Amino acid sequence: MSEDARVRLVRWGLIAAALVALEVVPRLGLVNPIALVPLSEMVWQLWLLISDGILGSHIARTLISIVVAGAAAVVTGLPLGVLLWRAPRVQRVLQPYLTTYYAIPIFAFYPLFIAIFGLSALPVIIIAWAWAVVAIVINTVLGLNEVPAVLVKVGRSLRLSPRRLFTQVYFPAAVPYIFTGLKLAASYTVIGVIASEFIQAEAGVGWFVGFSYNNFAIQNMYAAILLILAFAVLVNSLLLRLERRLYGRQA
Amino acid sequence: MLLTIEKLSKSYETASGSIEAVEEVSLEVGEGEFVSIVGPSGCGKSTLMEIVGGLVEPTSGEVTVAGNPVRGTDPSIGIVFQQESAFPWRTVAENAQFGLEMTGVEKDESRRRAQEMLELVGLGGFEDRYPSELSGGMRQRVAIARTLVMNPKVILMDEPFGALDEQTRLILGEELLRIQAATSATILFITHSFDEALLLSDRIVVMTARPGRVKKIVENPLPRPRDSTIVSDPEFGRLSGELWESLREESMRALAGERE
Repeated sequence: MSEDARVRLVRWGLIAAALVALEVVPRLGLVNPIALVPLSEMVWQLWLLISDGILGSHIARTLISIVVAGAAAVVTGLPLGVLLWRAPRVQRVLQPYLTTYYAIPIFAFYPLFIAIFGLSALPVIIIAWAWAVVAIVINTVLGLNEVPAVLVKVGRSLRLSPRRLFTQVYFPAAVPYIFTGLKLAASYTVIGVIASEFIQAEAGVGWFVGFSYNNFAIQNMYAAILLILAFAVLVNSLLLRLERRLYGRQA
Repeated sequence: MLLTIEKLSKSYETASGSIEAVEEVSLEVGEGEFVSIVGPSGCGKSTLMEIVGGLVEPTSGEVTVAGNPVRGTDPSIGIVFQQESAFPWRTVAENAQFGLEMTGVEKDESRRRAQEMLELVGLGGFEDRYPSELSGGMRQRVAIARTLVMNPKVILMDEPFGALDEQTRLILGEELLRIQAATSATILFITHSFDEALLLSDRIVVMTARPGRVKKIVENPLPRPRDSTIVSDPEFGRLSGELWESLREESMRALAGERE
C-alpha cells in the first residue's frame, strides 16, 4: 500500500471511529444519555423532523440566508478587492484594519443590528456578509499584488489594453488566491448565519438548535447539529472538488 | 540595419541621488544576425533590454526597427524573459497561442501556427500539459514558442537560460541555434556567460561595469553551423579566454562597486 493510501485509510478510520464512539459511548452509559444521544437516534430524529415538515421552513430560511449573504459577499468583495488593489495608498492606510479585522468578535454587535434592522433574516444576513466579505477583499488584494511582474511584462509586450491586461493576466494569475478567499468566505457565511440565528432570531436551523436546547429537547438539538455538520462538510467538499477541477493541474 | 540603438542612456532617481544605469549605448544589429551582450552583473544589461523592448522609457537616445522609431512596446519586437513567464493557468498550446489570440487571429490559424512553433522548440506531444507539469527548461521553451509565434522582426532574450543548470543551458543553446537557422530570426541575447555568447552569436558586445557602456564589440570567427561540441574546440577556449580578459577587469570593478 502506498503512503498516500495509508494516510487516507487512517483518515477515514478516524471518522469511522468517532462515529462508532458516538453510538457506543452513550449506549454503554459511559456518559449521561440525556447529555449525549446515540448517533442512530440523532439520525432517526433528524429523519422524523424532516419528514414531519417541522424543519423544512427552518432549513429553507437558513439556506436562503446563506445564499444571499454569500452572494452579497462575492458581489461586493471582489470589486472592493480590485479597487483597493488599484489604490495602493488607500491599501496602505487600511492594511492594519484589514489584517486585524478577524480579531473583532463581530457577533457582539448583534443587538445593534437588531435595533437597526429589526428581528428578521436581515441582521443575520448582514452579520454573515460582514464576516465573509473581508476574507474575499483581503485575498483578492493579496492575489493581485502577488502577480509576478514578468507575466505583466509579457502582456505589456503584446500591447494589451489595461482591460485585457486585467482579464487575461492579472485576474487569472490571482485566481488561486481569490479562490482561497471564496473558500474562507463560504465557511464564514455558514458560521455567520448559523451562529447569529443561534444567538437571536425567530427561525432558522441555528435558532432551532438554541430553541431545542432551552426546552430540553436534546434529541431535536442533536438532530439539527448533525444536519449543520453534514451541510458544512458538503459545502466544503463541493468547493474542494470545484477547486481541483478549476486548477488542479496548474499548481 | 534592422535594429539600431543610438546613444541610449538611462538614469534612475533615488533617495541618494541619480544613478546612471546605461550610458550612451549604441549598437546595430543586421537582419538575421545573432548578437550577444555580456557584462558583469549590475551593468544595466537588463535595463538596456527593457528599453529596447519598450517596457522602460530611456532618459535619452533612440531605438529603431527597420528605420521606424520604437515608442513603447512594439509587435515587431518579441521578448523572452529570464524569469518563469509561461502562464500557469494555460496549457502549453494555449500559452503558445496567447499572442495570436490577443491580436484576434482566427482560431484554426493560431492553433496551426502555435503547433508549428511548438514542434520547432521540441514541445510536440506536450500541447495539453500545464507548465507546472514540465521541467524548467521546457517551460522556457514554452516562452520561446510563444514569442516565435508572433513572428517578430527582432527577438530580445534576457538571460533566458540563466535559471537553468549547465547541461540544460548547453542543450537549449544548441536548440536555439537550430531555431534561429530555421526561422532566420534576428536575436539580441543577453547573458553573463561568455561561453554561451560564443556558442550562439555572430558578434559579442562586452559592456563595462556600471554605468553600462559598450566596452568593445568582438566578431565571433567560429564557423557555422555550430553545435555544443564546439566548447571543446581549442579556438573556442582561446576566444573564451580573450573575452574573460576584457570582462575580468569590469567584473572586478563591479564587485568593488558592490562593496562600497
